Amino acid sequence: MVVEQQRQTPATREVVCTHCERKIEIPATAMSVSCRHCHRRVIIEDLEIKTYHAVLRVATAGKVDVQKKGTLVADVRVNELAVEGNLKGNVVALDRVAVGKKASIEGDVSCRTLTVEPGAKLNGHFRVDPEFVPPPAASRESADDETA
Amino acid sequence: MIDKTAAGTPVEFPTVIGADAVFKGELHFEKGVRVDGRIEGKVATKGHLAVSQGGHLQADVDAGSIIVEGEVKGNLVASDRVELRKSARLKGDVTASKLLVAEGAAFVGHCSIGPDAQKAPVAPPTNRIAEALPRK
Repeated sequence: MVVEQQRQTPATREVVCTHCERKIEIPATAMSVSCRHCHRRVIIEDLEIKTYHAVLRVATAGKVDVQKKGTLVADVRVNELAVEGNLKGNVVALDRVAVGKKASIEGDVSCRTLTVEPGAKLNGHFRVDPEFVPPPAASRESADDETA
Repeated sequence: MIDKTAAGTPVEFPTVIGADAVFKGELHFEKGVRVDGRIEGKVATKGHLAVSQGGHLQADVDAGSIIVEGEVKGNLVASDRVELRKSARLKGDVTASKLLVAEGAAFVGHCSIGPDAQKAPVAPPTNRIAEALPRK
């Protein structure tokens, strides 16, 4: 009986729109959706930066992983961020930011939790607040040109 | 009770500012100091400075290494490392060779971390778009 119910109703999960910061419910397997509030495209998938990557803005409701040999030059709006390589740009993370021992971040960082391993290089203004609520994209600079 | 660094190295505190003590002014220590009470002003030590859970520091600090479990308002400069543990609340700038932040710590301020952070403090990042535009 329970199995039948699971088949009928596909699993869903809740994410926060990267533009208006409101919660939306999406299918668990979705890669990108349109926000039902602001009607803009929201990328859900996780991104891995393995090489040099320079764009104006990276926005995803998933996780961004800048790997050891990766360099990301962009303003970043993510749910979760892990940096082992280099990141140049401002970061707004809804949840956590993890900085590895060989990582370097140059830019301002706002997040709920931050973990930094000794050896990381950081330069910028940090705001780590467990009750941090990111401002909606409308109050930030225009971000129509987001790239992933 | 702070008795070890995050790496597990034991630390000793010959001086302990008790929970009911309040100091105002400029304090210099040769070795480690643990703050369970409150200090307002300036603190300088070559050893470890630890702010226990329940300790308050409203001061600019220059120390060998700094461990924070309590509340700090002021700028921290450490020749070695700064550790913010899960109950830490820090409002101020941090300059150190190494920074270690535990999950749950709250921190607002400018960060200059790296082996060269103290030698030549790097200017805060500038607006890249404004830099790219032609100057009038």
